[in-house]
Amino acid sequence: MKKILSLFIFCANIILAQTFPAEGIRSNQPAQHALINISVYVTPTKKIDNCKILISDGVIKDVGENITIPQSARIWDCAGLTAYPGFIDLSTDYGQPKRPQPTAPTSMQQAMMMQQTQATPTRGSVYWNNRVRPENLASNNFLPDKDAAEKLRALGFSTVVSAPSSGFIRGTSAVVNLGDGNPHSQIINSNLFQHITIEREQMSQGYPNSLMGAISLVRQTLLDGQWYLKANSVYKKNTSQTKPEENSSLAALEAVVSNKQKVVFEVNDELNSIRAGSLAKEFNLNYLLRGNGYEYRRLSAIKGLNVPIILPVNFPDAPNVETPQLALNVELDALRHWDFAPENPVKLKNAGINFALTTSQLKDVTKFRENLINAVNRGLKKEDAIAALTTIPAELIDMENKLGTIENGKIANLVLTTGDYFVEKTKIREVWVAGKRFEVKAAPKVDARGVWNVQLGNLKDTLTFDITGEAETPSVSISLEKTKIKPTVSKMDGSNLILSFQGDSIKLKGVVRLTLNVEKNNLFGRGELSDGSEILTSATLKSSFVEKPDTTKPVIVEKALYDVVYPEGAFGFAKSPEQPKNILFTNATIWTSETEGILQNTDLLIEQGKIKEIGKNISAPKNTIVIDATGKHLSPGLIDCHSHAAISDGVNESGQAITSEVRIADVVNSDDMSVYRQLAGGLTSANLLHGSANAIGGQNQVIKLKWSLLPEEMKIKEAKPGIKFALGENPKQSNWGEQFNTRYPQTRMGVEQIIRDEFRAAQDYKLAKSQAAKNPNLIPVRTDLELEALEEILDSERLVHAHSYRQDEILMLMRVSDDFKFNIATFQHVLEGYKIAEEIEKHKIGASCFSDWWAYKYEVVDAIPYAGTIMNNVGVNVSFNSDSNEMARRMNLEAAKAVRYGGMSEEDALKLVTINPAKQLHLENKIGSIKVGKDADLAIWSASPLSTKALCEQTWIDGRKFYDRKDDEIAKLDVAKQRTELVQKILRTKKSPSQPSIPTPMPRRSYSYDCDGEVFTGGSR
Amino acid sequence: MKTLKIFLSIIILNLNLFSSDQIPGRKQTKPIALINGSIHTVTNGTLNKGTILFENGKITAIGESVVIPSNAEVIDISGKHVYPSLISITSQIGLVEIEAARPTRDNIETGKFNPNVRAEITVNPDGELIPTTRTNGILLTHTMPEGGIVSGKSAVLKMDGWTQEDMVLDAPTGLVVNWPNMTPSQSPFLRATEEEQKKERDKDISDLKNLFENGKAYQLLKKNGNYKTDLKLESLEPFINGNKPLYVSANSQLQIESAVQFAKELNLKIVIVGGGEAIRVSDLLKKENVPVILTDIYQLPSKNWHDPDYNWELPKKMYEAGLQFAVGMRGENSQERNIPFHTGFAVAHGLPYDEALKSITINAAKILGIENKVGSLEVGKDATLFISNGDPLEITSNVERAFIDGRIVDLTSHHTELRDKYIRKYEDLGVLKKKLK
Repeated sequence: MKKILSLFIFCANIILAQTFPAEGIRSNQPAQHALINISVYVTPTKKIDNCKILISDGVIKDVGENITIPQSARIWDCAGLTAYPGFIDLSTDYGQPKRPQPTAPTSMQQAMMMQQTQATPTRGSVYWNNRVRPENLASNNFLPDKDAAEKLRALGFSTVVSAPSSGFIRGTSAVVNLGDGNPHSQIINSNLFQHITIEREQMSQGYPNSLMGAISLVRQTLLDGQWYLKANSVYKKNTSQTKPEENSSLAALEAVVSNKQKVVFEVNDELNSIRAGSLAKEFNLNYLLRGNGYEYRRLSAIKGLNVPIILPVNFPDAPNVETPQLALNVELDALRHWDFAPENPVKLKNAGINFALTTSQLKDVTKFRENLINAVNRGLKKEDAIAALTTIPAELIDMENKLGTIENGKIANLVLTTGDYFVEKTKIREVWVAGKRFEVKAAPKVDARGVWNVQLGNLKDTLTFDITGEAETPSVSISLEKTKIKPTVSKMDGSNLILSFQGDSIKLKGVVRLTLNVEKNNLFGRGELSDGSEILTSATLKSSFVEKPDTTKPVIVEKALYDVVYPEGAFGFAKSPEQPKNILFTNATIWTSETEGILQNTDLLIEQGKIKEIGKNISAPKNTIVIDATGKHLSPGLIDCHSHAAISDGVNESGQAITSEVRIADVVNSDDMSVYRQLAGGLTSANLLHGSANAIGGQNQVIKLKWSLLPEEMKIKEAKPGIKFALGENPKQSNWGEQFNTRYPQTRMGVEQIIRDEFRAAQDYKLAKSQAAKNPNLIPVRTDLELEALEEILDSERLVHAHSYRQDEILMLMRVSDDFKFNIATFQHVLEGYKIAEEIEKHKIGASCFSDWWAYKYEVVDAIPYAGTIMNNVGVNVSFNSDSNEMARRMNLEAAKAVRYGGMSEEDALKLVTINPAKQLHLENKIGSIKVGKDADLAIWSASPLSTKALCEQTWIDGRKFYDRKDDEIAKLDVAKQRTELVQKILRTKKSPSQPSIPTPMPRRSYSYDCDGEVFTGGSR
Repeated sequence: MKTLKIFLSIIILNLNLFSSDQIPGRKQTKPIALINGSIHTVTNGTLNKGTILFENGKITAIGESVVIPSNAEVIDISGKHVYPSLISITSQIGLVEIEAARPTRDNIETGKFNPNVRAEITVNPDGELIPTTRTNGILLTHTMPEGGIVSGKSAVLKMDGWTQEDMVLDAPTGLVVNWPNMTPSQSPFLRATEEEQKKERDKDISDLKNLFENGKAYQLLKKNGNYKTDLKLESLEPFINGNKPLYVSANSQLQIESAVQFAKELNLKIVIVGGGEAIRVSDLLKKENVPVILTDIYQLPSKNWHDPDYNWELPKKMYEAGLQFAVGMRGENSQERNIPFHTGFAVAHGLPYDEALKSITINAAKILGIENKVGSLEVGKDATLFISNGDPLEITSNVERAFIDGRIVDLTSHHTELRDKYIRKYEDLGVLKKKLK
C-alpha cells in the first residue's frame, strides 16, 4: 500500500512538472511495466539471467530474479532477450540546427577572398568574432529529431549529449534522451560542457583561417573571459569609472575560466589532442577530449594528458588498391592507419586511458556497431566496450546516479537485444527511453519455417514445402517426389506467405500463385492456377524448423601487421635514437665554422650530446663509439634561417593585416616528411617562420629536426622568441589578384604607417598596464596578445625577422626601429639589401637571403646572386636560407653559390648555413659551429660539402644519430615490403567498401596540397 | 582609366628596367684558336692539353697538334676547360620574363589545341634572363610553349642575337603536348566527379586523335589542290610525317603508356617529358625507342613513401635501364641556370659523370635532332662552346668565356652590372672590407 501511494505521488509530480496545456483528451497510459524472463546486464560486468525489471513512471523501480511485480504492471515477456543499460553518446549534434555550410569556392581566388572576409555579428553584445559563441545553449536550440533518434536507438543509444556544432568556441551542450515528445521532456541536463575546437573548417572565412590562428583566438577569448570576470568585480567596487563593455559571450565563459564547467575539446588528430591539452593546461581547465581515432600514434603523450577521451570508432574504408597504379597513390601511413584503426580502442584501454565511445566522426552513423564489433574482435574486451557506452559516459557527465546501469532509481533506459551485442547477427529489438518502449526491429509475428505437406485444392498430388532461412525472409523449396523447384516469388507480407512458381515440372500447368496465411502448425489460403481457377490450399506441418548449427567459418581476425613507429608512416623510427655517452669521430676533415677553419685529419670527441674535444689522436674513454671518418668531411649541422617545414595547417594567418598573436610554437608538426628529408641533407635546425601575408605576422619557433620526437621536444628552448614582419608586395597583396584591393595596406606607404601605428599602440598599452597595475581600484587592462608581442619587441625580448625585398622598404624599417628603439634581428630574403648594405651593417642586422632566386615577381627584378657576397664583404652577417622544403635538403649547395658568385672563400661560404644563421637566431653559443662545449649537431659528408658530388651520410643532433644513409637504404626496402604486404592484406580481408580512387589525404600529413599554403594566402618568399 | 594607367605604367617600367644592355657578339671574322686547354669533346673523350680551332662559326680542328692559321686569334687557356654548350632542354626562356607579372607572360595561349603557335615568335632578344642564363654555360635552350593539350611548337634558341630570328637554331623543333591525367585528381576547387574527369580525359585523347587524323586528311586534300587553309592542320605536317617529334608531358606510368600507344597507333615520333615514372615502363620505352626528358629530378618526391633520394636517383636508374634520356627542368625559368648543378647532384646519386654531362649536351642534342650542329665538340659543328675554370657541374667553378657560332658572348648581365654599380658605392664609402672575385 505504501508503495502504491508513493508511486501515485510520483505520477502527480510528473504532471505537475510540466508546463504545457493539455491538447484534446489527456493521455494517461499505463506507466508501470514489468519485463520478465530477460537476461540483464545490470552493470557491464554483472549479468543476471531469468531476471525481471520493474519500471514505473520512467524510472527503474526494481531489478532481480525474485522481485515482486505489482498486479497493476503491464507484463512484457522478454524470453530470449538480453537487456543492456541504454547507451550514452557524449558527442553528437542531435537535435541541433544544421550548421550553415558556406558555399564552397570554385577558384583559388574566390577561396582567398573568402579567407579575407570577416562575417561579424551585427546584433547583441556578443563576441566580435562570430565563431566564438560560448553563450550558445544547446538546450535553447534543441528540437528532437525523429529520424536521427531512430538511427541512434537502432544502435542501442538512449541518451546523448547534444552540442552546438559550429564555431571555435561553440557553446554549451545538453544531455537529452532519445525519446519523442517536446524538447522539454527530453532534456535531462542543460548547460553541461562548453565545447571548443581548434580545427578550422575546410574553407574558412575570415579570421582565423589557420590552425595557429584558431588556437590564438581561443587563447585570447579565454584571457578575455578571465579579464571580464575581474573587470566587472573591480567595477562593482568602484563604479566611478567607465564600465567595462557589456559582453554576453564573455559572461557565459565565467564558469569555464573559474574552473566550474568542464570543456570538451573536439580535435581531429593526435597532435591536435596534444595541442588542446597544452592549451587546457595553460588555463588550468577541467576538460575532456573528443578524440579522433589517431590516438595510438602518440599514445604515451596522450596518456600523459591524463584526461578522459570521448572516442570515435571512425575506422577508415580500405584505401583503393584495385590496380597497382592506384595503389601507388596511397601513402604508407594511410595503409597502416587502415590496419591499426580498429585496434585504437584496445590500445587506449591497455594504456589505462579512460574513454567513452561515440558515434561522432563517422561518415555513416549506422556503421558504429559494425566498427565496434571489429574493435572487439581486435582485442577490446566486451565489458570494457559496454562500460565505455554506459557507466563511463554516465560518470563523465556526473549522472552516474541516473544513468549507466540497470539499477533501482535510475532512468529506465534499456536496450533489448536478441543476444550478445557484439555478435553480428544479434538484433536489437527495442530500446526503452525513460520507461517508454521504442521498437527497433520487432520479432517476426509469424514463422512459416518448417517442412509442410501441402494440399492444393482437390488435386491428387501432395506437395512438400521446405521453408528455411530467416522468418522475415524465408527461403522456400517446393517438391513433388524427386522434383524440386524454387518459386520465382517467395516473401512474407504481414502474416501472409506469398508464393509464385512455374508448376510444369510438378504436374501443374503454367504459373501458380498462392497467398497463404501462416498460423502455428497451419498454412491456409487461396491461389490461382494458370487457367484462372481458384484453389483452396492448406498445409500441415510435417516437421518443425530446426536452426542449423552455424557452420560459417568464424571471421579470421588479423591483428595489425606492424608496430607503431614515430612518426607513423614511412621512415618512422621504432624508437627515438639513443644518445651514447661518448662518440669519437676519427681522422676527418672538419669544417669548424670557427676561426680554426678547416682542419685536416682531425678527431672529434662527443660526450653526452656536447662537443668535448677537437684534435689529433684523441684517446677515447671506455665504451666510446668510434666512427672512422677517414676521407669524410664533417661539418656543423646546417641551419635554415627561414623555413616553413613542420608546420601544421597553415603557414599564414591571413585573416588580419596584423597577427602578432599567432604562434608557430602552437602548431609545430613533428610528422612532416620534410623533417626527415631535410635531415637527409645535413640540416639540423630550422627557424620556422610565419608566412608573409601580413605586415606584422606571427611568432616564430626555432626547432631541431629531431625526427620521431614530439613537437615540444623539437623546440630549442634557449631560442629567443621572434616574430615575422613582412614588407613589400606580399603584405600589400600585389600578387593576390585584382580584386584584393581593400585590405589595409595596399602600398608600401601604408605598410610603414600600419607598423608605426602598431608600435604606438603597444607603447600606449604598456603605459596603461603599468598605471592599472599600481591601482587595484582601476579596471585592469585587458591582456591583448597582439600588443603583448609588440611590447616584447620594444623590450628587446622578441627578435624581428623582417621579410623584405626592396632597398626603400629595408631602409624604412630601419628608420622605424630607430624611432621606436627596437632591434631587428634579420632581414629575410633582403634581395636588395646589397644596395643598402652599409646601413644594415651599421644597425648590426643579419641578412638572411636567397642565394640566387630572382625574376619571379616584380620586386625581384634587381635581385642578384652576388648580394650575399657583397653584404658579407661590407661586414654584414649573412646567411642563406631556403624558404622551401625542397631547397632545405641541400643548403650546403646553396652555400657553394657564394663561391661562384663573388668568390667567397669556401670556409666562409659554409658559414652562411652554419654559424651565421646561428648568430642571427642568437644561438651562436649553442649551435652552428664545431667548438668545444657546443651541441653535437653534425653532418658527415662523402666529399667537400660544397661539391655537388657530396652526399650527406649521417646527421647527428645532440650526439644522437637521426639520419644514416645506410639505415635509409634499409628503410627504403622496408617501406616497399610493408606496402606490398598491406596491399595484399586489404585485397585478402577487405569487407568495407574502398575509398574512391582519389585518396583522401590523412589529416595534415599531406604536403602535396595545403589550402593554406604559400601561394594560397599571400605567399612567403 | 586608372586601371589603364597602371597597366601602361607597368609596360613602360618593363621596357625601361627589364631589358638587357648586353650587346650581341660580332660575327666571327677571323679564326680563333684556344690552346693548351682541356678539351672536353663529350663524344671523343677529353684532350688534356689540346687546341680547338674555329672559323666562320664552325669548329675546324681539334687536337694536340693543330696547325693554327696565321691570321688566327690565339688564346692560351692553360689550366682551363672547354665544353660544348650546355642545353636547357625544357626551357621557358623567351616566353616568360617575370612569372608574377602578367604582361610578361607569353607561354600559354588560350584554348586546348594550339599546334599552330610558335615559341620563337615571342622571344625578346633583350630579355634579362638570356644573359644571366648563358653565363652558366647554357648557350642553347629548347623553348617550349605551355598549357592546354597541344601547347604549340617549340624552337631551339641560341642565347645571343639582335633579333629573335638571329637566335633561332632550329624551328619548329617539336610539338608540345600535355598528356591528360589518367587517374582522377583532387583539387578543392575541382567540381568534376571521378566519372566526369575520366570522361573529359577520354574526350581529350579522342580530340587529339581527331586532330591528327584531320591533319592527315588535310594533307591528302592539299595534294589534290582542293583545300582551304587551316592554320592548325597546316602546322601539323612535320609531325604527321614523323619528321619531328611530339614532346609529350607525361609523368605517370599510365600517361606514358597511353601516350606511347597513341604515337604508335598514329605513327608519330614522340619524346616523353617529365617521366617521373618512366622507369616503371622502361621495357616499353626501349622497345619503342622513346627518349625521356627528366624534368623534376630536383623536386620533392611526390609521395611521402618515396625516400628522400627518390628523384635524384632517377637519372641513374634511367641510365642503368639503358634508356635514352636528357635532364631538364621546369618551373621557374630564372632557375634554369642551375641545371648543370642538378645534374652534378645526380652524379652524387650514382649517375656516371660522363653520362651526366651527356644528358645536358649530346644526348639532349640527339633528342632535339640537332646533334649534327651542336652537343659536342667535333669538327664541322657550330663553335658554340664555353671556357670554364673547372667542372661546369660544380657550383664552385665559373664560366670565363663563351662563343656562339664563333661569336664572342658578352658574359656580363643585369646582375654583374648591379654588382659593379654597388661595389662602386661601397668603395666610395670606404666600407668594402674585402674585394669580390
